[in-house]
Amino acid sequence: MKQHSSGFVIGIIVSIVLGFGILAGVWLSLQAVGSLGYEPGVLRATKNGANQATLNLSTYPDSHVCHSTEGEPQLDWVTYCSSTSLEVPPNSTITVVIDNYDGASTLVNNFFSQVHGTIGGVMTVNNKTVTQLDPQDIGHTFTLQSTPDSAYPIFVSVPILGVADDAPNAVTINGNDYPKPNVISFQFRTGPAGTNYVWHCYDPCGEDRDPPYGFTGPMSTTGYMAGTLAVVNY
Amino acid sequence: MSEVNIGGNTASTSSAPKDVNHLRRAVLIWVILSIIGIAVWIPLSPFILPPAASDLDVSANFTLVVFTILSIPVALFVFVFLGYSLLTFQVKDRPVEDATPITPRPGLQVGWLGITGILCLFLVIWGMFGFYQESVASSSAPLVVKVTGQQWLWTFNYPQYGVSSQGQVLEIPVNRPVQFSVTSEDVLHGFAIRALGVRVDANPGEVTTTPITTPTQIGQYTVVCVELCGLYHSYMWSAVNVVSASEFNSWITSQGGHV
Amino acid sequence: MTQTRRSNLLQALVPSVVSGVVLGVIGALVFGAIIARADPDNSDAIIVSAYLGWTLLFFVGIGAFNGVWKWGFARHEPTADESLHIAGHKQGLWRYFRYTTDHKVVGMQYLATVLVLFFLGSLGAFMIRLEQSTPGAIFFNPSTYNTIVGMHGILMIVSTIIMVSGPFGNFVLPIMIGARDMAFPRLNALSYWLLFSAIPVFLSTLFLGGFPTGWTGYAPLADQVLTPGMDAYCFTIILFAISTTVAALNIVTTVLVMRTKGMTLARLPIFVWGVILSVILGLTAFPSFIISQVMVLMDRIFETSFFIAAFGGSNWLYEHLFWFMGHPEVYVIALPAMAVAAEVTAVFSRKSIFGLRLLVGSLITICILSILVWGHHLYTSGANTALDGPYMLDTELISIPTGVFFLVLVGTLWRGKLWVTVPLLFVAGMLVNFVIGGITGIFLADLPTDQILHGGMFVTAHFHFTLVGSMVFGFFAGFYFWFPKMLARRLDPLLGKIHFWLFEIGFLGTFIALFYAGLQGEPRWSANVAPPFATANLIASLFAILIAASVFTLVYNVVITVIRGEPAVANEWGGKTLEWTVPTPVPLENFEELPVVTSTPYDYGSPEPAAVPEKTVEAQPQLES
Repeated sequence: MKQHSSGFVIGIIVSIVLGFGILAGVWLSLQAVGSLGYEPGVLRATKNGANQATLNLSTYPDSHVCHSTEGEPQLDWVTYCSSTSLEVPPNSTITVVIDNYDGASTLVNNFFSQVHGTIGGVMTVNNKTVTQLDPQDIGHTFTLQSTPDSAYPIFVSVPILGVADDAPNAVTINGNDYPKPNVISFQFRTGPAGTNYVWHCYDPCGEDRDPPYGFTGPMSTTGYMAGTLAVVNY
Repeated sequence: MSEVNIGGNTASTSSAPKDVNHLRRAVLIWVILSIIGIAVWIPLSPFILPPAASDLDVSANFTLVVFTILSIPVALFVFVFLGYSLLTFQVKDRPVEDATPITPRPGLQVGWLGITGILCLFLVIWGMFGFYQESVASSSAPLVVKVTGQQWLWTFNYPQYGVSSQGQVLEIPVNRPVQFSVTSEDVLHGFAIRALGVRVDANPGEVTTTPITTPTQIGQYTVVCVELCGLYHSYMWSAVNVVSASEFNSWITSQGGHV
Repeated sequence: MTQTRRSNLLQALVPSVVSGVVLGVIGALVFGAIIARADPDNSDAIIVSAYLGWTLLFFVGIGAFNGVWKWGFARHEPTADESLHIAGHKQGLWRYFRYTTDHKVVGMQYLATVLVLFFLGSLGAFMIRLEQSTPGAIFFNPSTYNTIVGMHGILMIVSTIIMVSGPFGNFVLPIMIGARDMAFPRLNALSYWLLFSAIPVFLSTLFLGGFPTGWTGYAPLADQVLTPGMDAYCFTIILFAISTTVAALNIVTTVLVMRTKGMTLARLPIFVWGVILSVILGLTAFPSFIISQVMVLMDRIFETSFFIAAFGGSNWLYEHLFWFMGHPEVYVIALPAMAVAAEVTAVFSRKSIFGLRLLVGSLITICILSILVWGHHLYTSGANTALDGPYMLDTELISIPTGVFFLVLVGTLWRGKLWVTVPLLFVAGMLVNFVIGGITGIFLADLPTDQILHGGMFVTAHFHFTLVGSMVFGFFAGFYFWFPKMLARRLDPLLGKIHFWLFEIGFLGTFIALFYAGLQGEPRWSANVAPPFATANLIASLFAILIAASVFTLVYNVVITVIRGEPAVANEWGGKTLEWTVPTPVPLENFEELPVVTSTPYDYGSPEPAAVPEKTVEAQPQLES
């Protein structure tokens, strides 16, 4: 019969500790394996006054501007720049300005051709105030959503006007040529700090196959057409 | 209760206690624990099951309660006889002799198969009956809500009124039969409202419908997605507001529809 | 001197798994590069051709084709020396790393692989519970979480399918029927190495972006070209299903043809019944799995539209193909584990199985019925409501033979002389968990209740109760039971009991909490746990720590036993099946002289009432080096 000595107990403790150590190692390596669940660095809205902040975003038809280090096929993916991980201050009016350099793609659900949840229920497109757009002209949407149980539910959705297909190249950014952008701007209010939201583009603008199957690629990848918005104090 | 007969040798080789007592004792323990179990489950069930807000959900919750009542003696049968055997017939260290074999008498076999068969048929008939009730729950003109699932949001249309719901909210009136007709734009989603007892997949290219359900309680409930649809599947929620008929009508008008 | 050492090393390494891996990697790179030149934008095509290259050249490297080359096409039969060599004779530990045909070697390879896969799958489980312990996607973002969920699922499914038939079906079963080896020894090695070759393919998904579909790989989502990680999943399934098909053919032929004299079907041990019924079921079901994955790959690589509604396909096609496999598959998992439990119970009650023919009949009934029930996974899919009734009837009917299983096991324990060892404890745990799992399955089988429970955590808790709580417990019963025979050492019983109690208590706590969450309406695959379900999930995660502790206890037990465990005797437990009549460690050809069987291996107890003639075993086997 074996003696169950203290060495035995130490052995158990060591193996449990080692076991959890392996777990931590695997977790860390999962975090490190970059292609899984890529999320870019945080973009904070710039505060401009008490309870006011502005968020500047752009949408591009490719990833040369803010994902230039990626390889194929991501380099061809449409994307929001400069980041999709957004942070905004609490209890504030946030003004979002989106410069869109990308063309239109077919909207499959006309719900998203209307403006929802912004202050006044409106947005401005190139300084003109509108409440909806023609579904044929929409390139992307910016749709912010939450779980209904969150402390401060927010639902905001604005359609982004696409540039015309035959628009000439007018600007150069980081060595890449794009047409003159459409500037979309809208406002919404945030609640208390600590709540998190996700946002996503609901116009199939991803790659792969003809419409209506543009849901792949960038559409479902954070860093491109999907991201998070956190309300934090800063 | 079933009369179970275990055939075999009553003349044991070792000093076993009176054999018949074991069976009677175990059965007695089983019966008592079953009664206690059922007596505990019935008042406890409203706390374990979420509140039911529609006729369909009420009957589904009731089915769960009834099935659990039936399951308690079944489960306890195994627990009690297993536990009793492990405790009573255990031999300290390694046994030096074999036990006397017992074979199931035909009566036991038939009885067991018969009882489990009857239980099983009961569950089937209950289920078929519930299914039948759902499918013929007719009412002239239920409120039809068209649900479109998309990665990762539900949008709701009321074709009878020409409006769609604002964002992550589904508004329906109480005491009015409603039917959801569901489709998807991209991949498979699962449209589910626990409190109303409805659930159906959203398939691309197809329109599937839930059974007709009538909300019976005003309140706030949730739509969840129950079919993994990618990145933000667990964010694919909407709020369900069950409101009074007049509130619903004013909501429709406020959305720009015609009542 | 160095010349001999180098050539010895080369002889040792070629052919072996080392040469297989090296050649396989080269093959992957070459095939991938060829397709990259031809079709550079199609990353799925490149990845899948790399996998094809890996598989082909891995098998060349490990020597799978050597047999075909030397003895195929009716060239000449292998000589006795060649047969002994390929069976691992006089190769020491290297035989486990080569294309060895000895069923005992294959059984040990399967055992080690199953344990490693379980361990990896458990790590995935712990990460899931970590993420689900609080609301919000805190530790992993949703994309990583979905991949972890999918990896945990498929690793566990793959492990549980092979966990009993692989190690014990290979090592123990041929000895149990009195054979010297399996019917097709080289196919036996093939089935194992196919499984092995699938593992790097599967793990490569981590470097390819993971896959978003969970283990079911549902089609329209699987067709979405996000990252090539999905192809890793599909290809793994294809390799794995081929592996199990090959193994299944082997087992069926062996059991039907190679039983020793006197072992009629009526005297077949229940374990063999369980395994053969399980593999027959697998032969029926797994081709559907392969086809569904081939179709997904075709959708991804060649842009076909099997499952894309916009171009004429249907996602219901995938669901039917998948669940036609998916339901029998859980019985493929269940039947051997149930049979192991019956086997173990008889030995540790010192009593014959209470109603052996009844049990065999019920296992056969389960096997047949399980092919007819897959539609119950499609109740809420919106398809085919007319068939829901028959599916419900058939699903409920399966509970009848399952009930017989409980009757038989409880009846075997009743008035037995119980030796409460670790295997018997695991059988007891299995019975407790299987009752709960089976009953909750009934809830899901019924339409009105499925309407409120489908796709929620209730389903998750149900299948964990059955697959883990029952079947993995059955595996562990077999593991502790046959370990002394397979590894010639005795596992520490105290550590075994600690393993059992930690596992059972942790398991019950975790999954009962998840039952509650499911009843409340929590959906499955929730990276972001909603606040109403937060407490239940936190409790589940806390109990999961106990499961983690049990896994580490098992690892410690196995490691110290292998290093300096007590040697075991030939008949450790006093069992009466044929494997306990051979020496430990088991000689290469198992028996000196093949035994003649005259009764079932359950003739414990006084012979008078049962009137069973005593079993005679003619020759005493001798030790071979």
